[in-house]
Amino acid sequence: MTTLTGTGGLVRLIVRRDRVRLPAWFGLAALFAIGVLASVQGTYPTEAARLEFLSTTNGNPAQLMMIGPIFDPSAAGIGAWRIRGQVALLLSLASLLLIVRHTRAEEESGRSELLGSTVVGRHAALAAALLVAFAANLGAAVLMTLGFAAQGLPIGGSLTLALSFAAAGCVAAALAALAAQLTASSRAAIGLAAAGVGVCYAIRAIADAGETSWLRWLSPFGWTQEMRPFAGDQWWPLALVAGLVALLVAAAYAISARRDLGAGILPARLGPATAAPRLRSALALAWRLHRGLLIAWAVAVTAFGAVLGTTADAITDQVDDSQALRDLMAQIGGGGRPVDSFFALIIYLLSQVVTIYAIQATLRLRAEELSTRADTVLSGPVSRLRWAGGHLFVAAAGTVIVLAGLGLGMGLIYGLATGDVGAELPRLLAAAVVRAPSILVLAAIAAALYGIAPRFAAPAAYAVLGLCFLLEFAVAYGGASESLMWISPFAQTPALPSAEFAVVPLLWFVVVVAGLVTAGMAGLRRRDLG
Amino acid sequence: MTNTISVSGLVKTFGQTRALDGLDLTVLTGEVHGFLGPNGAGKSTTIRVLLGQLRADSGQARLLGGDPWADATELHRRLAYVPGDVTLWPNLTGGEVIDLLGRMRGGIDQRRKADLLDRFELDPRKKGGTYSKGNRQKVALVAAFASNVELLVLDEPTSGLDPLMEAVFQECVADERRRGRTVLLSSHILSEVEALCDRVSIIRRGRTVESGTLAEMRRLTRTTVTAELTGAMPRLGDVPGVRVLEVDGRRVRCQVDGDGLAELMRELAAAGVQSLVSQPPTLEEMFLRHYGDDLRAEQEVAAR
Repeated sequence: MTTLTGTGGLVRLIVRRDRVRLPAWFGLAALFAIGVLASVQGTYPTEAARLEFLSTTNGNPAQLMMIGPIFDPSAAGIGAWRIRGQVALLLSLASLLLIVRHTRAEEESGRSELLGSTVVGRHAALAAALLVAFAANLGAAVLMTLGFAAQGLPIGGSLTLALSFAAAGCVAAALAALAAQLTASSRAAIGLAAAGVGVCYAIRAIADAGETSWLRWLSPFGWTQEMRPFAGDQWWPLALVAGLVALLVAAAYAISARRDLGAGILPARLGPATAAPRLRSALALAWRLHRGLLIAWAVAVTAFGAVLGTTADAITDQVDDSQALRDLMAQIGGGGRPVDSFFALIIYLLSQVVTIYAIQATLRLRAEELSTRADTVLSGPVSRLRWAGGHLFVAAAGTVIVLAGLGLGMGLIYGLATGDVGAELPRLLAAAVVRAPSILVLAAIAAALYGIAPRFAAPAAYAVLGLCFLLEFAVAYGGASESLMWISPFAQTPALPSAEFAVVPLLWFVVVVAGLVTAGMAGLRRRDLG
Repeated sequence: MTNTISVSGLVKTFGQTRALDGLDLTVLTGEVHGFLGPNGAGKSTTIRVLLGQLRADSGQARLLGGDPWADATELHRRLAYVPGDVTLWPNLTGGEVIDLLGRMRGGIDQRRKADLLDRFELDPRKKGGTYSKGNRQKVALVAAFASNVELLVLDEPTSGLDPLMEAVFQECVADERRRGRTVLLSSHILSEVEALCDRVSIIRRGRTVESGTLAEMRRLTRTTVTAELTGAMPRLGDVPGVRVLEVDGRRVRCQVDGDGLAELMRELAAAGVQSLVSQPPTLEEMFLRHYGDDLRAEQEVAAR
């Protein structure tokens, strides 16, 4: 097997390069699974409440579509159901990014050419990336099994549940390995692999929601669901998963053996020979560079908002049965109509997710500078302020667009369901968009650090977001003092549509954002580039 | 104003490293100026100071009559820059990048752009991510040559170009000079500098060690003379400036300083010359003379 020579060395290289990334993605996914499972178990204390919840959920097409059916009315069964979709998708995402990062992205940057010229076999890079991905998924599974079992859950069910997640991650890794062989760019490879995972999940969703349950056998998510943790613990679906992984990996190797280094199988498309008349300024370039990411976020968030619009009433009914959830909603979402509390809570949570977009878009500045593409723009008659301002403007406008998409999706669909679009749409749109200033505070932290200490911009901005998120859990489940919440700009924003509108916190946020951005831009003007 | 670029005593440090250590550089308007030095000598650092990307710790720098740091934006209307390692946006085509850069600099000559695309054999429809290194260089070169600017700042612009494209590049620079534009050309390729440049600055460890026209620099260095004489061999060892004398019957071979060349020729002519070959020093020889110290020092270190 000379084509695999050097795999061991490459495995060590990946582990060394990703010594932070691997534990961050896979470790946090496992901790998320353990933490949410623990918190959900206490939500339905009585057998009757759990049975009631099972019957409403299994009779609700929206819930069946999003996650699938509950198999067992025990606390463990409901907990396993709750995390099933999220954790499987999280590990899938982590796995596919890992694979593309160490295969196609390496080829694209030309680094694998350098490595390939040493004593490294043709398939070694792919093999090393797959080995690390499989090991990381199994590692996460071990961690989750221990974490579930430590909560007093049966060890067999804990292992089955954890392995069902790892299996999903391994399928995504194998899918990404194939996608990385097909396309010539890492972006396209990530897109193709993510679309593949999405289609698999959608097939399961359609199968569970409708009459066509046989469809579930076409999706690996359908198979892992059939492992039924805490409800019979089936292991045989793992054989199907192993078969699919073997098939995908074999296909990836077959293509890898036939193609040139750096080339794909799917042809690279040609683009326009001349630029559109609009593309004539730093701002136009920034818009063009941000467009793809923004459209993807806007579409995903709008679609998610629409799905929530369809399920809002059903979920609100469930909440009425759960004292713990009612308390949580009252605390974050305020009083009023239960469905409004639900929307306020969801918008509150999603605003933290949208913050990831805002930080990502802001940090595009740093990526442009590091790649020296910024030099190309700045060697033209473009001042640093104009260049950075263009990116920051698009990032801020993009944040508002994504939030508007969320409000639009919720308001339109919920309005159609209740027959009162005219009332629901503006309310939910406003509830979503009012979140923009708080999100921009975190993006402005990233912008300020980018100007002053660029190296710390990404870790610090994400750390602040993580802190706000953890604070939430600490206050809701851990008994931390509620007065701590004032630190979080998310908590300070009026929780529309259930709470009263208040303009003062928003004005404060605007002042803070302006101050941070001014500081960042002043730093950027003074420092060396690159 | 005759100096497009005038730099004196420029100092720039990065932590412990002194990248520029009192560098001087003068580029006259309308000339093609070669900027030579080994890797790490400070060529790119100087250029990045001139582009306002780095702020010098001390020293003077003037570019097109302005301050490269404070007036960067205005000055950049009048110059085009080609880095040695061009990175492009993966989802923009080469043609889009050329148009964008040209428009930002205040307009692009479409006829000239089409001509350049043709000469460099560049397909403008490909996405930035799919170009080879050489083709990425071509995108930046076409954008620079097609824009209407006074100064071209080229930082090892031909890395990755094949010899045919290297020839096209040299034609383009010659065209630019005919149009009266000023070119600062940092390069490793000595034949390229020798073919294109009016004047040359050689730098080493952040300082300028030599600057002038190639002719001036040659006068300061030794010419190799090989002659076959008809008459008796004169005592050439007494001629001032003659070194490394080898006499073999009627044939003589020696090196002579620029100043001693006239005296040597008189002595040879008096003895009767049958054939004579005089080789001026190549740029490579001049270059190596300056770096000979470094090479020797390295060899000593290696020997230890």
